[in-house]
Amino acid sequence: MVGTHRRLLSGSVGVALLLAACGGSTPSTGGKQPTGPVTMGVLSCFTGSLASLGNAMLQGSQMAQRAINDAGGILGKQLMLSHADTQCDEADSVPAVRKLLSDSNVVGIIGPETQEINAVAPIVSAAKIPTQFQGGSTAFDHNANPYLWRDSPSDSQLGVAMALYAYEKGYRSAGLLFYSDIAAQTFADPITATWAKLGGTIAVRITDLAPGQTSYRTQVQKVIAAKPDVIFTQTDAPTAAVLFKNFQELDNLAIPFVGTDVTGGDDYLKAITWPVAHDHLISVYGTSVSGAATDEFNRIFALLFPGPDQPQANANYAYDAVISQALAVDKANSINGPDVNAAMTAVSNPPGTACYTYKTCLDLVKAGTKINYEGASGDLNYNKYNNVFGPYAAFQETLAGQQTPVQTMTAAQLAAATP
Amino acid sequence: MHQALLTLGFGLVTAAILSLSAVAFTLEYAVTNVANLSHGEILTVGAYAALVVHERTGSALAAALAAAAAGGIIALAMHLAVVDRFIRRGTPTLVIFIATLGLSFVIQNLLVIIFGAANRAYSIPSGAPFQLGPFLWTAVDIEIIVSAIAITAALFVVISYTKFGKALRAVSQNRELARVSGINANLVASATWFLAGLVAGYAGFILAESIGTFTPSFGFGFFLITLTAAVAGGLGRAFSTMVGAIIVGIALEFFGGYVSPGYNLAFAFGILALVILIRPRGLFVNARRSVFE
Repeated sequence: MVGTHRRLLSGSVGVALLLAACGGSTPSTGGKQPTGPVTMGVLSCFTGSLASLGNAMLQGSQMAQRAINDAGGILGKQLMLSHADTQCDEADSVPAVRKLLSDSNVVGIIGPETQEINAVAPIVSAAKIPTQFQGGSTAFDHNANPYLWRDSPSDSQLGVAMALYAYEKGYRSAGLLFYSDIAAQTFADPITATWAKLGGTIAVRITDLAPGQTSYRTQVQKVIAAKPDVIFTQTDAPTAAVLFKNFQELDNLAIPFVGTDVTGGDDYLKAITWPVAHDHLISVYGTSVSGAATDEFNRIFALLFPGPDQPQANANYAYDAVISQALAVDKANSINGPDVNAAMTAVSNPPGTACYTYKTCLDLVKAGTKINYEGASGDLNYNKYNNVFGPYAAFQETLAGQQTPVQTMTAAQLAAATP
Repeated sequence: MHQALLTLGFGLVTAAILSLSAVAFTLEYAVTNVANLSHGEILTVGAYAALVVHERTGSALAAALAAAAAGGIIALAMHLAVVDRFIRRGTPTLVIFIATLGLSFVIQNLLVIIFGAANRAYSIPSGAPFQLGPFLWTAVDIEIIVSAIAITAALFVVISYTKFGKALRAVSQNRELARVSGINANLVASATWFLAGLVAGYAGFILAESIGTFTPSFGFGFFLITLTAAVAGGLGRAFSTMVGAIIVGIALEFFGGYVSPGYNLAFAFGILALVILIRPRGLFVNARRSVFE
């Protein structure tokens, strides 16, 4: 009897899998439908020294929300955003994510960006809610959690991009200057390995600066004494302010800096001041690809945030995360977490008809066409570890506080430089 | 130039700022027997006052005076509105201790409301570094060290040779006895907190000047090291506290430079734990009570 049940069960599963494999591209039917507005949670640090990360994430999410609602919403319902503050802290992230998950119509979480993903991951996977985080931790390069998706490249790629940029600028001797935060620690090894592969040498390596000190002059003097051509760096904004001031005092900022995406954040740049950033700092981070998706991104930004400002660094990742997740809900025709999760790659990965805006992608989904969403931040093609790859650019701050790209590095260039 | 001497020079700058903050803290403690956990916020208020005045006047001197004045006012307000009220009611010291912690968060959040949570850059050109003996200092470094010495010396004169100083010492040693001797202990305590606030407010200015940026929580972070320095030197005497601050400031710089800059705070608290274990009343005084009594 038990054996018969097992055979029936396995047969049913087999038929289901076969149907799923041959099911074409039309939206699924019969899934859980929303009773009201569909909700996505934005989980990030909105207070503290890295609050600029959360502000950028919320900005990108709001832009995507506008695009989605202008196109008719998700499954005919308007998209709502709710957000919760992790304070960039693992302990604080637990109640924050639980607050977001308490909404019965939540179809996904956008974020977080730093180490609190470690605390968030088991909660969202237990709740079976797809979560698009944007942390750069290399620990997730081989992520096996099916509910975790990372739509920004790993720090290992950013480290490669920083080293590649510096090497192409002609620098050969480098110093590493990172604070002791876990997120910053992930850069040291990929930078070092890439730098060695390219033929550079590391003259000095300080990767354990305590944040928030009143003076780093002893460490700064050590760096200056080692005479590197360039300094790779990431710290929080208050630490950066002291570091740059100390460098200014001791060598008049004679050694240029190449920093991570954090160094392109508004708070960081204000802390060291725009003129100093303009003259002495290049920030490297993932960039928007040129084309229709970026045009749409910029169009919506101009609608929502009229004025001279530009989109905040990394806002494009949040934008793409919301758009792609919304398309997955449309494709699944359900707000049920596992259904949405299963549709993630179906809307973002090839093969399929390339589409660049929510509206055009949605029309294709409704028409039963297999789509391949190409985002403002990159092609958004997830690998088997739910990670993406994308282009990077080196940015220089203007005296007016705007980030302008000075060099772009393609995915192919990065692949060639990767050790 | 020898790296160790450079480190010593850098440590002296940190120690100078730390000594002013620690001396102010010990003055507050001396007359009320309360470890004021909102002491760091006096520095923060001083820094914001300096920023506001500097933006309007462009004068560093005016900014420094504004910082001191703001520090004095906020410290006096803390004493009159919270600490003194509890003391008059005979509230246990531990309760007042916790109340000052609450006050700290109230002030931090008020500053967030007024100025925002983001970093505020406070850039005063420090000039090129120059060699002074074995040390490498900037003009701002010299200003910080000289002003710290001058203020501490002035405090020494006030405490040692004035009528107010005598009253302060009397209240510090035994408040009730001082009162029955005809000293207005409450007035002396208020005046002492105002004086401590002037010093702490100025310390906030030179700390901001040294760092170049601050947020509403920057004084709170510095307070942890202030506490270490004050306890290490010994609460109760300004000069002992100053020596403790110099030792802690230099030790932190050497530890950061030669061991690991990642564990500075842990090292500071290691010093604190060691001092409490070996000489709970401080290294240089035989004070009548420790901070935790």
